[in-house]
Amino acid sequence: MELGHTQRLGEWLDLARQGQVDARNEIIAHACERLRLLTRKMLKNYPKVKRWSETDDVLQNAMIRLHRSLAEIQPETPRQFYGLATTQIRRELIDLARHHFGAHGNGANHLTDGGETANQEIDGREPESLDSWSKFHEAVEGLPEEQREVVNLLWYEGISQPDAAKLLGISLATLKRRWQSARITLGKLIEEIQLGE
Amino acid sequence: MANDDEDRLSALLLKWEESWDLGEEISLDDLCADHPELEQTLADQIKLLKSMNWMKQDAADDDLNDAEETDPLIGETLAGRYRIDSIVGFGGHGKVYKAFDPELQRHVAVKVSKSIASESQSDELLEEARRAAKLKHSNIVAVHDVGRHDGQLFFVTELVEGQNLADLISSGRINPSEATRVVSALADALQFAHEQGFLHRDIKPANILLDHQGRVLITDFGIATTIDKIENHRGGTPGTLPYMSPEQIAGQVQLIDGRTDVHALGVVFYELLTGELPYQGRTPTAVREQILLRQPKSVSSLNSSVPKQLDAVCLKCLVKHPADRYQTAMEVKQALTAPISTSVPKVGLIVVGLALVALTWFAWRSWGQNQVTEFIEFPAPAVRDGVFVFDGASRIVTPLKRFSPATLEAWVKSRHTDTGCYFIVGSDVRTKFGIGFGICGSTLAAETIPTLVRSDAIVEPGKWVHLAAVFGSEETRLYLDGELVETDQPTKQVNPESVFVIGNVGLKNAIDFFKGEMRSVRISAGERYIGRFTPEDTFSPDEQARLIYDGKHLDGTQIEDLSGNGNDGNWESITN
Repeated sequence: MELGHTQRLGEWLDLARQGQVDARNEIIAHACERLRLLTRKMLKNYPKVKRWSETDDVLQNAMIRLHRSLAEIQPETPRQFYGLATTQIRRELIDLARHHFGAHGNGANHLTDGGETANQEIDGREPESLDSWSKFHEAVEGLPEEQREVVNLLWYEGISQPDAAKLLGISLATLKRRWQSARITLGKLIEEIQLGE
Repeated sequence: MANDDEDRLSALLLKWEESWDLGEEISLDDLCADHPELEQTLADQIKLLKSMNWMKQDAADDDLNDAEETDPLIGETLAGRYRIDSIVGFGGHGKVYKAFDPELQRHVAVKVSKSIASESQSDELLEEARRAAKLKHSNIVAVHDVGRHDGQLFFVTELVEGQNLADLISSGRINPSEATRVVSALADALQFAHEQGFLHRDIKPANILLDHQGRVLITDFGIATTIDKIENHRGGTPGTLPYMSPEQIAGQVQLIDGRTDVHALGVVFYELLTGELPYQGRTPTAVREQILLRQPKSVSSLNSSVPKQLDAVCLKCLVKHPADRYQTAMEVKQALTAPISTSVPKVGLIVVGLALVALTWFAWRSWGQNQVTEFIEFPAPAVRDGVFVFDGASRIVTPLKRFSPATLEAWVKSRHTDTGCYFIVGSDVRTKFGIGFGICGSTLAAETIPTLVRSDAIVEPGKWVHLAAVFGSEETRLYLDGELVETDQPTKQVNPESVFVIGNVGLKNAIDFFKGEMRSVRISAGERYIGRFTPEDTFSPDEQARLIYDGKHLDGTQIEDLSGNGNDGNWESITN
């Protein structure tokens, strides 16, 4: 069982507070890596977008912003760090979806793959359009705090359920209940979005 | 909705999802048997959960499909020589292009890594890839050249016109003789590469090609590892999850050798013979647990046209511990080409000296027929100084139907130091999770439904220790010598479909037998331990105790239950 991440993060935070630059960089690198992975996931149905050379630049800029914002904060606990980091990650994802590749972005006129993405459902209804992705991230913002915190840890940060339960100080059974409730709520929201389109 | 209903709904949904994750979806009728009024709400919410199942896939595990991307490399010339013409395939680590080499006037395949390697990093890796390029074998795709383009490594190989094995598998079942031919050729190639000091570490159908003449070729030798080093800054355990071996999953780098490729070869063989993967689950975690813990179904139970001998060869490749698999790829080939006999003489079991080898034989022989008891002997229990001695082929079958909440505990002196999982008390039925506890990778672990709970607490071999697992309604707790060493999720409802078994995982599983001494065992109802405690030297009967055995109270093969509940057990052994 991987129990390490939260523990490691706790150690890094301690070291970061003592002024250890490497520890701080480790923490920030983890958040940046998650942003990169989630951006990739979000853009995967947009092959035409990815050919542009500015894709990397836009992501790079988002990562620099995330890096800066995390460098400025002084989280006391892993839980607080994740709360702050995930909020920043989500904001950057919404920004990427809306302004850079979304309906109002540079990519708007290049999205010629609507027919393909319609057939690319992987396990249920992952958002297909960037607009839907943007709404999904916003819907997460609107979840009750307890559920949002669980989605933050499991989906945005990619940490294990036992780690997340420990970090939140709740039992694994409670964590599972919240995770399930959050997905049901988000499922309804996505359904509504799709019905409205 | 009333709070009670909400709680009930939540519990039922969790129950449904646990079964769904394991690929054993509970029907709505069964789920709502006691609460038909919740059926519609449950159906709606299950639909939503199914639609959101993608959220359970971690972004890091996402298999991106860039198939339709317009590629900037098309039309480019790499290293001033190779003109990229078209994309011919995709791998986890990069793309494969068809290219033209004007110097030698021939078409070649060019694999380009996705990641950018630093100069110093790529020099080292290129050197390694160049060494791999020296592997010349009729069943290995020849590497002609390696180089760098805009920081990305590329590998120029012979272009194989044909299809890969993954496409062949998806097009329908392959007959056993063709599957045997393919696997024999692969074993030949692997043996050659292993002798040259190369491991593949990522054998899978997508890396196996069949040309138009039917020639079988392994691709990516030396490339899979090289690229993985760039991507993950590691060289030990690249691989593709369903084809990975237990030692790769467990990160036991010291155990990774040619036998790791033999395991992957077994997975490919299984897939060729059955059209199915041996380890399946809806989530990567479920697949990892399957690989670490579960025995695959016998091949012949999925495809009755497969001779038992092939079934056996395949399952022996898939044995959990490398020491119990074929030791070389050549052994696999020899086993495949040995004359097929319609029956395996029973005497064969007796002459096999190594208990675990016997176990393997026993396992595949019995799984196909589901008649474990055919081979079970009933010798007197092995007892020394009033202590049970488990030799890795014995167990005690109790009459006690499994239940929860429960507390299982034992005084043991283990002999296990490897990465396998060995059960002290089990309750499983094959292919399903049960409740039980044991030693996995030398640490205390428990099986709950539907997951394995592992602690970091090392069970020191050769030393008497008290081990306990509490399967509570809110959580599962593990104790080593009275110290709480792990807390995890509770087990889901335990159906009394199997009895508790001592010394292995379950009544019908001829695997995972415990080796070592066991002084006494107690199974109790409820949660006997909550906080730290001092273990009793001798287990006393009380209201909670349902069964107590020790090595001093026996009558022939029968083990007397000292709890006063009459749950006497029977000693069984698969060897004499």
